[in-house]
Amino acid sequence: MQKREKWKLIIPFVLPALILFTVFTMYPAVRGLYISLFKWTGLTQNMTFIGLNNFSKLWRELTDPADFYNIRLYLSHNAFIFVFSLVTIILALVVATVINNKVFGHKAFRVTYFFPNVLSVAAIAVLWSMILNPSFGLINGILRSIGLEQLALPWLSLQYEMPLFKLGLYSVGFIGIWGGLGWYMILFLAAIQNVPQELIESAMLDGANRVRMFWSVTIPLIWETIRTVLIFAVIGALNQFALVYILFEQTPNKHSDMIMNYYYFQAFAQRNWGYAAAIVVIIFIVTLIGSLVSYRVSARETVQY
Amino acid sequence: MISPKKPTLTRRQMLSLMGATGATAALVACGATTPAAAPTAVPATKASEPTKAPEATKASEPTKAPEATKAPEATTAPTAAAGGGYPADFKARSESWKALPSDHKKGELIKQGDWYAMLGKPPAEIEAAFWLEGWGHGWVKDVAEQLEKEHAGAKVKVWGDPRIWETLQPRLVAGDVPDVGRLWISGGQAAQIAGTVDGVYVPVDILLDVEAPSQPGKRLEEVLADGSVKAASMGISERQWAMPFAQTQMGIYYNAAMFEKNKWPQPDTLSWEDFLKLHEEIAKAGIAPWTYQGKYPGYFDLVVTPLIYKKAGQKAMCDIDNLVEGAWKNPDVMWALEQMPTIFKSGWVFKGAEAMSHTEGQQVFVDGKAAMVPCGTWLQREQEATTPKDFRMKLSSVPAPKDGKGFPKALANTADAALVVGNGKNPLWGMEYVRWVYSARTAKYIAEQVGGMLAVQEPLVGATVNDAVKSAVAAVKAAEGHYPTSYYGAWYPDMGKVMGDAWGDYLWGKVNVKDLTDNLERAAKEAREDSTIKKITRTDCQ
Repeated sequence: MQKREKWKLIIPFVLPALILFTVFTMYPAVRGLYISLFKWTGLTQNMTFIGLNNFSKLWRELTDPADFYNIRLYLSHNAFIFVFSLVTIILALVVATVINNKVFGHKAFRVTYFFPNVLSVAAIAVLWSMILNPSFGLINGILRSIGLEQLALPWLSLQYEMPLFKLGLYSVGFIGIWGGLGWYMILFLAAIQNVPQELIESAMLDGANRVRMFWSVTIPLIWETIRTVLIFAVIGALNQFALVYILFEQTPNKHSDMIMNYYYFQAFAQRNWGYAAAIVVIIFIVTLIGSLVSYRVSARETVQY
Repeated sequence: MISPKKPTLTRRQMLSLMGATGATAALVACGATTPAAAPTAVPATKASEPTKAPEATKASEPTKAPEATKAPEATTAPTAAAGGGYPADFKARSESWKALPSDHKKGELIKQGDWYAMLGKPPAEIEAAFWLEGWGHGWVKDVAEQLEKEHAGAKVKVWGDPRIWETLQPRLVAGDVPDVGRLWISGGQAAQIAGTVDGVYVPVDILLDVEAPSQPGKRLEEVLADGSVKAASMGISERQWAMPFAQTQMGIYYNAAMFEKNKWPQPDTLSWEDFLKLHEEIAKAGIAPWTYQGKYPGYFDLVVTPLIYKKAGQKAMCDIDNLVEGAWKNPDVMWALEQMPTIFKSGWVFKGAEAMSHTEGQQVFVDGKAAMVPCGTWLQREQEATTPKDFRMKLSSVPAPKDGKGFPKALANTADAALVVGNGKNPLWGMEYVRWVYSARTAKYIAEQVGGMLAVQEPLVGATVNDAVKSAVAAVKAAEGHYPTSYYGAWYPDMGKVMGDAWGDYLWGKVNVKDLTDNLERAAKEAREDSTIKKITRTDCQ
């Protein structure tokens, strides 16, 4: 009886959100799965059922070595960006720790690092395309003015060779660090500030130095936040789209495209909505696996002192 | 597109949950939502496309398209009875279609008065939905004004945006189609063909026979530029699904003053071999021979396709489009493909251009830092605001190789399949709007205000034009109707994709011509053997 009473209270609160979630998230998700079984231009309601053909085509693309530009390449770009995300996480952790120690100007640093998060990705892309412009960009301008002409590279070039990938993709990674650092920093800062002060003090009394305290007290206590951030990084890396889309002028640029750009290209340029939906189903599976793996890998007992 | 969505929750557990479940599930939703803090933040934006991205050049002779030309079924419960209107096998959504004579004979003049009788009373509103691009909307409004002046009580609602295909897509799926417009579907010509098959447009064949505005006694087709109607047919010969808008000439733009000062001859007065020697001379003068639209390397197709035609001839072009085995391995085709990597490897391209946008790359040209740029007649308007006042540019066709099989002065010249009439409420009034596009007044407007050439016989009558336009007219004249054309990308998108994907690497020699043509042959074989792909046969092979 009491249980039923409880539900009477809960349902009115949950229902609106549940309806919205079902209509705007679950339905499109299931619909995406459904569309992946069809050949569809996305222009009318004419859809031709082709079973799993889109998936077999995807498999061919994934496994055919003669096909130069394919999902393998795009997923490798996503993986490369994930590496930059890991670097971002480490840097954010360091910055959060330093700021938490209330170094001189820490408030200004906090605002500065967080600043990119108030910009839209479009603004970030346009801003950096100006800064990195090979002829009138800020960076090359500075390099030239101090006599380092040979270092004035075409930063957004997708032809300039670097280890593994092209220079342009490295630039994307660095912009990612710049843009993502502040957000992770705030998450870490909030977590670090929740570490009980008495634990820090007792560690100090036990003679632990700052590094030791960081490894043995702070890290274990903010581990849950680190796991969360890792999942964000996986999802964020797989979900890259807008930055490269704007930075490289929206065209399919094979050496910068991420898997989401390929999805967009198939849907809006090639008008293969069925195939595009199949790509998204694969992204879903990869994201899910990636998230679960990072969650499992980072699993450890929750520490309570 | 992507909807911005930033989490406001800060509790760790909540974020975990959100991250692991909601976000991943949302991904399946056609990738339309983006979860939380990606390292580079989230929301997406609109941004403008290049004024005109070059497609494979079009035009030339008609092509036979037996299968792709099947009249589309109306997609959502057609209201008009079958048999009414012209052509009789087309089922339009609108009842007004029946006003067209089903016994009309192709080529027979329909007098303006009779046409007006078919149109009947103007509807409450005619919807003109036009892609907003480099040409602006001034001419669209001017045409609307002409129509409203001609038909008392008619009202045209003009609207559009730079990414109109995104705004319109849900409406097209729902069958709510505007009456007339331009570029409703993204994705080049292949997508336009999909639009015809899916019944987004109505066929406009009858319009070709209606009396032209301000030219009594002439059928509309007779006042349109030679070849432009065929160019707008997308290679589909049985039905006219789109009407031409502007004549666009494409090729090599060169800095006229620089060439004159250095006594360098206009490129197409040289053979391709001597043209390469000219590169050395230009480079010696400390000027980069080329700049290009770096992030859009496909602009060089404006050089490559004419060069393939000029070296290998029309039959080779046909073989490629007809998926003939070994068409890409034709030694002449391969020779032509080898030329661009040679230019790039020789360092004849402005340093850093590959990292530039199309306008930045073109700016290098108008700033006088590079001698040439591959582009079309939209160039001068696109760079207008940043072009020095005394700068003069001229258009040249692509130089022909010494032992070429194609017409040496051939020019990439197209009137793209630009104007479409929607299978919506007022298709006849949509056609009437298109008819007024070809008035003398519109031609003058476009020549003077936009710096372009309307796809009519006399696009420049009464207009004052500059060197660039004059050089384009001269190039058209010299081409004597030879307009190299390539359709494979439009007819077989997966094959077009192979070339489209490879452009950057191909130009820079990182994908060699052997591997590229291997891959193109593979894609051609797949298209040939895939029975679900409709084949179109090109017949203008001589």
